Amino acid sequence: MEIITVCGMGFGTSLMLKMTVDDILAKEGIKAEVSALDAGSAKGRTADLIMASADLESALEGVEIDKIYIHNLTDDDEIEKKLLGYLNQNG
Amino acid sequence: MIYQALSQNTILLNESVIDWREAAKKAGEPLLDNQSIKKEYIADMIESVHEFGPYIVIAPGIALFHARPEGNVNEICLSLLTLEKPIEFGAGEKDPVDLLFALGAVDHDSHLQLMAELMKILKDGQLVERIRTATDAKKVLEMIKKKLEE
Repeated sequence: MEIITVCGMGFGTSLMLKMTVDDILAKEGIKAEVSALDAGSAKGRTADLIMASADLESALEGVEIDKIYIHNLTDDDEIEKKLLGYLNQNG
Repeated sequence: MIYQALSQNTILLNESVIDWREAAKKAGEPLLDNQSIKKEYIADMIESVHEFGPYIVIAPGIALFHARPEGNVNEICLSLLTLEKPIEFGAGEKDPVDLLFALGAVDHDSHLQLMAELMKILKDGQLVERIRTATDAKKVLEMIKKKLEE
C-alpha cells in the first residue's frame, strides 16, 4: 500500500505527518510506503491514500485518491484513529 | 539537533505583534541576524501562508512558519517566538496562536531529525504550556534539552 502525506511545500507538516504515520504503521505491523510530498506533486501521483492537514482540503480538490484530513498534526490519537479506521474499512 | 539550532538568540519570549505577518517578521529576524537566512526568506514564509492558507497552524495555538528554500536558507535553522497577546490566522478552532516557530530547511529531508525532535516537544502538552508562559530563554533551552534526553 502506498500513502502520501501532503503539505504546501512538501517538507514541513507533511514530514511531521509521515513520521507519525510511520510510527503507527510500525506499531500495528502494517507494511506501507509513506512519502511526503508537496500539494503540486501530489496531484500528478498515484497512491492508495493521501493524508494532509485539514486546511489543504481546497488545494487537493479534484485529486482522485482517498483522503484523510487531520485537524491537529501533533495529536497522535486523532491521526491513529482516522488512519486505522480507514484501513479497517478499506484494507 | 534542535538544541544546536535554538539558542538564547533565537528564542524570543512574550513579544508583542499586531498580526501574523509581523509575527513572521519577528520570528525571522534572529535567523537573519545570525545569517542563517536571507531576508527574501521571510517574505517567502509570509507568501506561503497566502498561497496555501493557514495550514502552518499545525495544532491549536501553534504555528510553524516555513517556505521553500529557493537558495535563501544558508543552513538548517529554527527560531521560537511566544506572544504576549495571541494572534489570529483565520485557522478556525486552532486560533488564536501564541507559540510560533520559523523553520529554515535547505532541502527536502536533511532537517528530519530536527522535525522529529520538534514533534516530540510539541506532543508534550505540559511542556508546551511551560514554554508558552516562560520568560527566560535559558530556562526554555533547559526544558527542551531535558525533554530530548528522556
